[in-house]
Amino acid sequence: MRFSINRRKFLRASGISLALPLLEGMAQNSLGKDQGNPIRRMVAIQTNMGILPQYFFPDKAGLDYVASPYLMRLKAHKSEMTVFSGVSLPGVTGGHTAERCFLTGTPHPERGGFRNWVSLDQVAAEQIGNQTRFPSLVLAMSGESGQTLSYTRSGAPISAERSPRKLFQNLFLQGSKEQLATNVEAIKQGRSLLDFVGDQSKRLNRSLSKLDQARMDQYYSSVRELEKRLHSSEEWEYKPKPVVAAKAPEDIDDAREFVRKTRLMFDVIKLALETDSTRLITLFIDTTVIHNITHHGNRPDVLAELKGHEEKQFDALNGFLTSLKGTTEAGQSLLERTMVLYGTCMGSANSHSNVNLPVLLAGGGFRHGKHLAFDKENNHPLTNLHLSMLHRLGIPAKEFSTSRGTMSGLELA
Amino acid sequence: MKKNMVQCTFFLVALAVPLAHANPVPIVVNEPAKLKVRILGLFAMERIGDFRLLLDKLKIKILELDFHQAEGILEFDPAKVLSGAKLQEYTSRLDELVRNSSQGTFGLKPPGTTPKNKLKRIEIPVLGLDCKACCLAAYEIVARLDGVEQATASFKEGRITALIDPGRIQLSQLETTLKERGVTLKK
Amino acid sequence: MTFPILSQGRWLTWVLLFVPCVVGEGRVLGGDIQSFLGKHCLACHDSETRKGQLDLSQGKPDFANPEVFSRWVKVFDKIDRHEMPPPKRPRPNRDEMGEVLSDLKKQLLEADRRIAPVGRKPILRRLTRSEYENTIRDLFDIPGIALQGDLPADGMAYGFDKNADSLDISHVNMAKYIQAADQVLDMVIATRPSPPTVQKRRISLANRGGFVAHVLLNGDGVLLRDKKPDPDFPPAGEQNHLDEGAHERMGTFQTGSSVGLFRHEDESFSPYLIEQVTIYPGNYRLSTSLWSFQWDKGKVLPSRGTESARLSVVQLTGDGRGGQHPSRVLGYYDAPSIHSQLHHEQVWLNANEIIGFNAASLAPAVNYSRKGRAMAFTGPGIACDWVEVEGPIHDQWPPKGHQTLFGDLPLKEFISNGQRKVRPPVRLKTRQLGAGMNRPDPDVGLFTIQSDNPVEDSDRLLGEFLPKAFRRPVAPGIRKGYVEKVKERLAAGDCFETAMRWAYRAALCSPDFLFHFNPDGRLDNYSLACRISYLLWNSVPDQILGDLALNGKLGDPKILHNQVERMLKDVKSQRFVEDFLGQWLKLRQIAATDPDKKLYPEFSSFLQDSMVAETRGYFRELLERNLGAEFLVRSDFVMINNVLAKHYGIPGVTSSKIHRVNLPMDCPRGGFLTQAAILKVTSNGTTTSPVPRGAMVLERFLGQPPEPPPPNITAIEPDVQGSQTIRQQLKKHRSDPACATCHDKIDPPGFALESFDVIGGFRNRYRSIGAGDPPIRGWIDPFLSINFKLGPGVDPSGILPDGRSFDGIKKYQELLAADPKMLLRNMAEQFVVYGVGRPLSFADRPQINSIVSKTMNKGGGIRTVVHEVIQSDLFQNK
Repeated sequence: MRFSINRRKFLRASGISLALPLLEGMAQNSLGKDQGNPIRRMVAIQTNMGILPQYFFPDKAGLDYVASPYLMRLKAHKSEMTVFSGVSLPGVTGGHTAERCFLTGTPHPERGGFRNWVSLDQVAAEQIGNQTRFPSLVLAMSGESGQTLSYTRSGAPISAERSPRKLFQNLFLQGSKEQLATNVEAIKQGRSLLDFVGDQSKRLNRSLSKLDQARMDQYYSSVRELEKRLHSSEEWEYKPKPVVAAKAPEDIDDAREFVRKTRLMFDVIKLALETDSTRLITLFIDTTVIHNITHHGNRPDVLAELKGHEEKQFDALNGFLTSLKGTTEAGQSLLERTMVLYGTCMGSANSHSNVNLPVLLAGGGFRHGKHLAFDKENNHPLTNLHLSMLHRLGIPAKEFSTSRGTMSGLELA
Repeated sequence: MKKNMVQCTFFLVALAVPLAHANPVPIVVNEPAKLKVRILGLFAMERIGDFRLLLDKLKIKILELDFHQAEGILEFDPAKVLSGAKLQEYTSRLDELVRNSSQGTFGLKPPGTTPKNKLKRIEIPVLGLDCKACCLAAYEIVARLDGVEQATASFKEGRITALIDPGRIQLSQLETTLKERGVTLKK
Repeated sequence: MTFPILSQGRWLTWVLLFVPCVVGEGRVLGGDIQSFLGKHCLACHDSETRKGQLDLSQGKPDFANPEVFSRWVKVFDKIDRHEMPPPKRPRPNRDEMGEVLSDLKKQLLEADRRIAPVGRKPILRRLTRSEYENTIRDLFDIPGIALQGDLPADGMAYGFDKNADSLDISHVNMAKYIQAADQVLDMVIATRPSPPTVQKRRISLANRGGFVAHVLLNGDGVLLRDKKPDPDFPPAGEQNHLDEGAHERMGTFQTGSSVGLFRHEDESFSPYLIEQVTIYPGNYRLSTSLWSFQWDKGKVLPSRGTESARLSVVQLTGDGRGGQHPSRVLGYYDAPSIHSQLHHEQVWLNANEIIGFNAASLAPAVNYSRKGRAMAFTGPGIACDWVEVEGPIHDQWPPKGHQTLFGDLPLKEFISNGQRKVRPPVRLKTRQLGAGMNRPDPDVGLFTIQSDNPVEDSDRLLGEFLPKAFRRPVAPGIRKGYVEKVKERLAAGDCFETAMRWAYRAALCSPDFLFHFNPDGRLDNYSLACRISYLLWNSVPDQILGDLALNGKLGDPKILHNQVERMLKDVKSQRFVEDFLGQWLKLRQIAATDPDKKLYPEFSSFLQDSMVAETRGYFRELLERNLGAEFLVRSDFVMINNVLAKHYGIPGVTSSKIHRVNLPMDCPRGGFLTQAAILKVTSNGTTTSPVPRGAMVLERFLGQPPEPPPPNITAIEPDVQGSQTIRQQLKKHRSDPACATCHDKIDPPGFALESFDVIGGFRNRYRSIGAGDPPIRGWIDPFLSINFKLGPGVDPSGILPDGRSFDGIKKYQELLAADPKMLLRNMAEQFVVYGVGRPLSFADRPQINSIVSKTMNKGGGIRTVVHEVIQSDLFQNK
């Protein structure tokens, strides 16, 4: 049974009928902050064995570029995405090992003793993660455990969820009463601790000079801010999880079916976004099964086979973007509010080169439609795009990783 | 009455069929069990000693051992060596025991069914390092193929030999498999 | 230049200048200052010409305005240093200048003291990340717990992070502090009645995890027995070994043979000793046996000399598989030719940490793709006979940290009977990653601290703990607040351990713990003790210092001096060396750039690590021997190891460890400026430029930070093709007078240092990718291919603003060393900014001068500066 297609039709039907009332309701509940300001999301996707550059990069720069074969699969969304060329992550080399740096930009992952930096989604989660039940979702469509796009501040990889079924259950099945009680108790204790130390700072403040008081006030406000966040976490524990008509999907075990597995994951991701269960998602797509043909050596038959696979990947991406576009929230499509970053860590998997990375950004609320072409010899930092994405999420960071500013030519809509 | 007779006959025939194909099992229960087996892992003569040491530790006696057929007859007390095993399970349980105690370098199988005179001995000249583990690796590459009843591997002597059932496998298949798995064949 | 015509407006200003103004913000400058300005300054610095944006014609400068004030400080300094009027102009009369300077100084001092006293006090600040980590480590005697990495990065202000301006707090910090406190308590609180079994295990590089086995199969390494190839494992030759799994099952790698490696670690090769994966955090004894050899197509011969192997501590993450896990270097160890050398180390290991190895002194060379593999290879190899790990070592149980929290209270099995339902303590399950052969002890059951008088005990224990954690006496009322919380938790059904844990966690997140508190005015003994211990140990005062503070003894200069001596001699003072140098000399940025592989093939992580060790070792030597300020810029010895000796062209050094070596006569090295680390942090990996190097010399060694560049000046891209030198490209610095005012000062040190490349190697000619002459290999390893050529010659000559000239680095160093007072003053300033946590202002100068003259009277040594700084009023007041 072609489960995925049937399910997608089914979900779309149920998704739309459930989405509107659910979304509006959620928007009001989430701290009342978003009246007026649209809720912004981010989905960052990396496919780790490269994307054939000759079928990805369009020739001309600017608005009226001619779509390449891969971009043709996304032609319905041309005006809603920006294609980049001449970008890479400064200092990130090491062929395959660069796959852990797509969202961190840490130089030289191939060196002994390499310690990764914090990933884009985790930086964002620190700031906005508390507004949803799940601060972020770290996902993978992969054959091996251990592959992930997300890293903590101390460089530890965050395990990815690889099963769409388990993800679905986490999102929509209620937890046990015991788990609820444990979680709530932990949060209550955290809040009680903050209350206590907040009082200590008030006591200390009384005997401080004015300038010193300003510093103690900073401590106090941090305590209060964290308390608020814990408070909203606690509220989440009591709120029932959203109800969707769809049933939990069946996982596909065959690693060779990576396109079908990707589509399945996209389906659940869309549900997660629709129900505002999270606003930050990373997805590591592992296509190691076709690793040997990515070393095509320019043999036409191997190239053709690889092209076939990659085209199907772009079809899956197209399906995802279309499904987001078809969902509305407060008068805008979900795609307009969700940045979808799609790319790879190798400019040429054949030669293991890490420059001139094929990358595109769809949706999210930017002035799209262009091919932003940067210098192929002297690449523009991709981390600049990461910084722009943080800004789009409403986080006024001054820099991210190796960024030297925001992405040139990409304006907020 | 006739119906019952027919049913009985069917029943007896039904019993007989599996019995005829069963492993040769001992008739008397309380005496030590005797089992004829195919031995995996005897890729060189020196392995005989390793095998004897191993079975000694496991309290299994070797009554007969034919290196060139890789077959033997073992004697053991099922109650002590294999607690609670059924007759039919003796070979598989012993195999498990032998594997676990030898890091999987030795194993046991039921003896082959092909008549001995139908088997053919072949030889493949190879190049490789004079290393016991490499010999094991080369041996395992061929021994796992269906139709290979026995094999030896020695890079010191530069050859792999095998006793094959020509009805089930050809020399060329062994050569191909060896090549695929990184063994250098001597031209 | 023609004499400028004074405009009408200017005449008016002149007239007004002589009218003393009582009304208004500004203070009228005295008559002699005015006339001096008129004679020597206003020609360029009036309201019309405004050379350098400076207008000195305003008679009433508003010193309350910080910008105006700092501008006038600059005026003072420039006149004081004879930089203004510029050398080409007529010199002012010496007496006239002396009077003017002393007058201006008086006014500036008074203004600074009156108007901006507030700005001179350091503002309340929290602990830096590294102070936090060290404080925890010392408080609980857990020398290796890793906490810094999880905390958000600190900022930097005035060159250091120990400053309120660089230390913000946000909710992210708070969340991480709570997390860290839990991590600490999880490690410290004992959960068993007896220590974990001490396991001693000899492990090998040829191990079950396969990290090294795969390279042995392919000839990038060999197995050796009795200093010869292992007969049971032929070296890979025309063929390689088949099937790693088969070898592991046959026990090929468990025979105790030594592993000889030809291959350096790289992206496909992480030499991990995976058989011991730490389960119990603690101290471990490590030993290893190493030697080196020359391999010649199957023969083991004496090596080219002592090689160096690296041991590191690797933190397994994820599922523990694969390579490139984060790690920190433990050290570099000698592997002498043929004869095994034993090395011993004691190291703290956290859960899931393992030991990593690297054949550090070998050039990257591989055999797996070579025809004939190891049997066709001739080259050096490093052999590791074994590594032994023993531990965890506990000299007492429960450990000291646990006793800091719970004193002598007994550990008993938790039995949850009794009238009230008491919840058992929570125990974490830690999973051992990877393929360790060491196994956890069998579960002993649930043990926890037993208290028969919980409220009394909590009061007593908190009474001992809080003053230690808060670094000062704690009022009973504050302690009571914590005890009340413990009572609450007990009433809510927590067991004693959990209830106390609540209080301890709160204490570690409270502002009393996280902030440095100093009373206004003269520091009390506690604050002084803290200021000294955070300067010298980056951490809390220990028991001895704490007791002296308690008894009010730190006011006695003799006692203070003895304490400083004791603390400098303590191994914890290494934290001062590392933290201070990391910032003062930017060593924290040592890995910020990558030297271009084509231009600098000889660069390695061994060299980089050694560079940092050199600078630290040198500073330590200055402190130990109390050497004078000249040694900052010049010396007759260096602190180096074998790889640095090769790099510097100094023969006869074989040890991997940093030690003192006398410099050969003709060697251009000596002092900090010629050290590779400093030369690297002031380059960009591909090229050098005199500007950042000169700026660093001015700022960090002379105490005369240059002005920032004017806006809209584009950076110069140095020419790697070899057609122009950077010096030629910087012509404009000299030809354009607007540029020259600053660059006449910045460029000369940079020119002298042009004799050193981006990794600190000495050069007479620039390396280039494009045109040039064939290169000389020099000390570059024979296995490295050289792809650069020799370009234009280096011109390291220059002229100082005062007219003195030099032809190269040695002469320049002499010129610098001629003014030790200036160098000393800068060191004192750096120590004060670092130790007190605020920038220096004009009013601090007399104090600094006093520190300098006292130091000069006692021999002028760097160690003396440290003492004098600590004894000064600057240091002992808020």
